[in-house]
Amino acid sequence: MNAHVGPAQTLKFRAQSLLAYVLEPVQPLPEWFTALDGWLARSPTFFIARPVILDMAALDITLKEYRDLLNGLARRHIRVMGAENVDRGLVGPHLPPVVSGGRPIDPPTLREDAPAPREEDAPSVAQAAPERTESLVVDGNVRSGQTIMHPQGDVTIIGRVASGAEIVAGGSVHIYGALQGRVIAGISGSRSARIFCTEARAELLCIGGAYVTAENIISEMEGRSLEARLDGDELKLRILS
Amino acid sequence: MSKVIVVTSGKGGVGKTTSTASLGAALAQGGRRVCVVDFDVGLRNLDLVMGAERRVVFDFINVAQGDAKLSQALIRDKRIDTLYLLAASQTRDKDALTTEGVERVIGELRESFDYVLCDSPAGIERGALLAMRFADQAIVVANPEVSSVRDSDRIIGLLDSKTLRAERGEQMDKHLLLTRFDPARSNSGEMLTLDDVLEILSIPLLGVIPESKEILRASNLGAPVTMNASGGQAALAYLEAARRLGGETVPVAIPDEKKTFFTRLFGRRAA
Repeated sequence: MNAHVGPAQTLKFRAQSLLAYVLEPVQPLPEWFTALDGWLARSPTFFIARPVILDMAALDITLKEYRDLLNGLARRHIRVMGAENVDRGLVGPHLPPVVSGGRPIDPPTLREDAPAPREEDAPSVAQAAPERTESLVVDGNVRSGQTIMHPQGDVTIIGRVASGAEIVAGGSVHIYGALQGRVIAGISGSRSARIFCTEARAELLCIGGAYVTAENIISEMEGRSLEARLDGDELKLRILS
Repeated sequence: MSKVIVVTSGKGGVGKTTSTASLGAALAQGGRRVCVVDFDVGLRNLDLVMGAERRVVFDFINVAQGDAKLSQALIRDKRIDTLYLLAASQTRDKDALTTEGVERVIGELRESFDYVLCDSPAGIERGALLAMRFADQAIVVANPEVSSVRDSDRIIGLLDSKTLRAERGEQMDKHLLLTRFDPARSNSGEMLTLDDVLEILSIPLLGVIPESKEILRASNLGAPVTMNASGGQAALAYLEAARRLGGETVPVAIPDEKKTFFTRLFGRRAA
């Protein structure tokens, strides 16, 4: 009897934070482009290979004007990866996706003689958003249809997780009760995340992209205390006595 | 102190309307002033079960929109004089019922009644959410069957998040009313047992109502089963549940398989 299950397919996904530069165009746009060109003349490589977000709060423009703006930026090798504070009419499949919830941080200062971004720039930028893990404890049942979303760390449930409920955690998930719903652990990228439950009847168990569904959990494990963990790219299940 | 109780379930057809009418009648028979309110705009049923379908002149929406006074819309029961009905509209749109309108009507009902029982529509949309929004307590009705129990679990989640009490951080008492209970089918595994349901829903039990032909007969006659002397086991179960609602401690009797003469004769076992 095998103690581990290989997933039929692996879907890798995780949550990630990164640093983006926010440009705030203002009208009239031709003048704004002139100012932008002035900056680019001093530092032509500043935006190259850097993710740029457009803050559209100050703009009141039509769809055609928006496309012209994006084309103007593209010609200057500025690639827009998202737009915030954007009007509903300016959202569409071939337009930048809407982003929100970004936190401001101090940008590195513009160095006039700087060539392409150097390697030593990267670590100092990454420290701007330090990792913080927090543990969430839920005392009570998680009802059908509810989702607990906690990318910051571990989640502990004292109660049952109903069929149709979902727990999404950055770290491990501990359930002191019956698990009938779905658990997605380790979305922070932590490959040491585990899932524990005292009564396994899960619809789905997933750690860092490797998952098993109810059909793949062998019947001997039904209703038992279970631990799920990652071993390489496979999800391994173990009965805990 | 008036109590607003929502009778809800999630799943349709499990016995909300029947239970609202039966419990309402039982509570009123004890001398309390009770109003049963139908929140199912467009598909009203409570008036039929109460036997008042030809007496509906003004409905909930009329009162909520100010077209009629509450006293004009309330229909007094002909058999129990402390029992009243506020019917739902049959012709209006569901969106005609606004949160402010409901709040005002419930507030007015609180002034004149000891119990306001709100018969929720099925589902988790606007009507069901409005029925629960201003309630002090909830009766969650479920059949001992998996889809009903899961829907009730969902509804319990909503009772803990979408009601005024939940938003204020106050406790909302929820009780389970297990209806259409068939002991033979539970024992044979065809349906869930009471323990299965209680384990999943984890709320206190108000009562277990057995599957009963008397209930269907009562609905068709327009007389809630608790109004008849010969209501059988179902009526007794509702009467006991009403006493528990009123605060009495009554031990729950789980309906048993009745061995009839014929089953004994032919030795047929249900399990």
